[in-house]
Amino acid sequence: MTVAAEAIWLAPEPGLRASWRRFRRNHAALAGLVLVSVVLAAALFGPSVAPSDPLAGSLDARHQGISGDHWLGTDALGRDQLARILHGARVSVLTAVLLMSIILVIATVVGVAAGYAGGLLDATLMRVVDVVLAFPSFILALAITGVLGVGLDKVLIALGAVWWAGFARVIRGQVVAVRERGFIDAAEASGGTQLSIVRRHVLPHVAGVILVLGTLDVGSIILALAGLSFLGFGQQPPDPEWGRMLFDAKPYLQTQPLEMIVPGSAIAITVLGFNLLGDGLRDAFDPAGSAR
Amino acid sequence: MLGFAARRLAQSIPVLVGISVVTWALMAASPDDPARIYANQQAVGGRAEPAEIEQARELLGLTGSPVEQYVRWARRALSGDLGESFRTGQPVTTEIVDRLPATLELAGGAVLVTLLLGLPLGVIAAVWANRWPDHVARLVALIGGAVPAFWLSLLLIWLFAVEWRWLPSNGRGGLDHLVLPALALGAAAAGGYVRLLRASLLETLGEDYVVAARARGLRGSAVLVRHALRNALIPVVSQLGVTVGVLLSGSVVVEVIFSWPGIGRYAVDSIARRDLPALQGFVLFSALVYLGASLAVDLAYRWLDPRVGRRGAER
Repeated sequence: MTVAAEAIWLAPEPGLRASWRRFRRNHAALAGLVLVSVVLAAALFGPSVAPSDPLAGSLDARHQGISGDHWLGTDALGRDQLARILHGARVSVLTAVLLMSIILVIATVVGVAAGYAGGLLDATLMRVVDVVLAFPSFILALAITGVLGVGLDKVLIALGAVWWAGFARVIRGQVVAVRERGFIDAAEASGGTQLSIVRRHVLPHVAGVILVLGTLDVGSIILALAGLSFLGFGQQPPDPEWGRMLFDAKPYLQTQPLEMIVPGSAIAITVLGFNLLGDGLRDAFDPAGSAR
Repeated sequence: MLGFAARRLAQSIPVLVGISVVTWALMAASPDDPARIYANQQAVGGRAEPAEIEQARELLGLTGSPVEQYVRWARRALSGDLGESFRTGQPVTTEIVDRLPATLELAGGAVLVTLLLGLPLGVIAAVWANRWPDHVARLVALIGGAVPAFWLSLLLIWLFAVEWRWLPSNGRGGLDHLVLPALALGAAAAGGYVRLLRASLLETLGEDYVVAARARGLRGSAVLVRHALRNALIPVVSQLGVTVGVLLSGSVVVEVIFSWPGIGRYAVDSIARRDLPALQGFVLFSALVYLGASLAVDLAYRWLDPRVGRRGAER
């Protein structure tokens, strides 16, 4: 969670159109959008057009370089690297994005509940947030994985258990700020139910922040997921995943650098895309903050 | 200032309690019975008898209500006793202290790399704002933030150790052993400093006192260093707390890749061998360092920029 992200204040009034205009003029943001679109498309449709089975290898085809048959070479078991990258994208990118969505839902529920209700509930939830944030995120996720045991599901649970806290704190802050502007009291006075007030008056004001924060941090989820898999705790063989591919390529670093360059580049390009897109969205929604 | 320090310390007591509960729960709430894990590891043939498991439960302090267990654990932890490693039978505290110098050396090298990369690039980006040096600096920062430390480690090993044979890629030794892991670990954190220093320097360069110094006819570089940079560096201090977290996290993978005998590798070995007390020790230690760093940063920030206190009082 960056300091800058906490300082975001969104005015919904200038409208989405102004934000879109700012976004469209931002070349870096557009580059991010293109990168993310390409990666997501590859993850969604890649596996069905992949040149070959990501699990099928042949000992005759081990450690091959770039060729017409294998555009990105093959790995130590003779499996096609392009096919493994495309299939691996499902875990490394789609699962990460899905996980981020779930995290944002949890954080929104906690943040809105705390900020809207205030009082004891707010105090209790925020102390829990304080404790979770007292640990470096990756280390707490690593430890939870260590206790739960290896496997992709365990890693996803561990990341989810840690990553919601920072978002919940920011969202709560936004909700409190919305409250202070008075129109919620007005809505309450005119007899709206709490749920409808949250839906009509609170959520629209925090939606932009949630979107921006989520996009800005997808990169760090992808890195953490790949990192835990690289350590051998996430996706288990033979299923492809980018961090795991790096782990498998490490012993052949001296003779077959291509095998680690391919998955590493995939991770870096994807994270770069999400970071550019997140920066662009923040600047588009929050021109004052980005001018600094 | 002293009052602020005392207040800030008092505020961290509930957090400390929370940290201890989470750490304790890593063993107590483990889905696999820790007593069974321990007893099986001790047993000849790897399968413990039920009586041996109960004995292990006694030994690990896993009897009684959760509250009793926690209080027992916390009391021992307060006196520095985090139990014995399942693998070696040695006190976990001793094992961590033994590995600490290696991790501190790596972290020190990494901080140096971070600052040597981040600060000059940040200054360049601000001084030549929106011109090509700025674009290059920000591009470097962007790429630095996207390249995972574990991949950068492999790339550095491949280039500097395998292809060019300039530097060793394995283990701890002289200064030459430190270069590659410190680079891999430090580079990731540098991007944050570029962004932050650029923004804060651009702000101070527009302040009245800087404009006034220019008007008095001072040379550009003197104004930059003596007036603008000095104040622009204050917000950068706040980033140091974040950096400690990044380094603690990154050191895990980097130590594994470079076979660096520090606490990060100790943690990964502990997980692989289901050594729960060792893992607890690592987690507790990391959280304490992280908390200590954020305390230190808050105090330093307040000391460097007295305006912070007044702003805080208004809230």
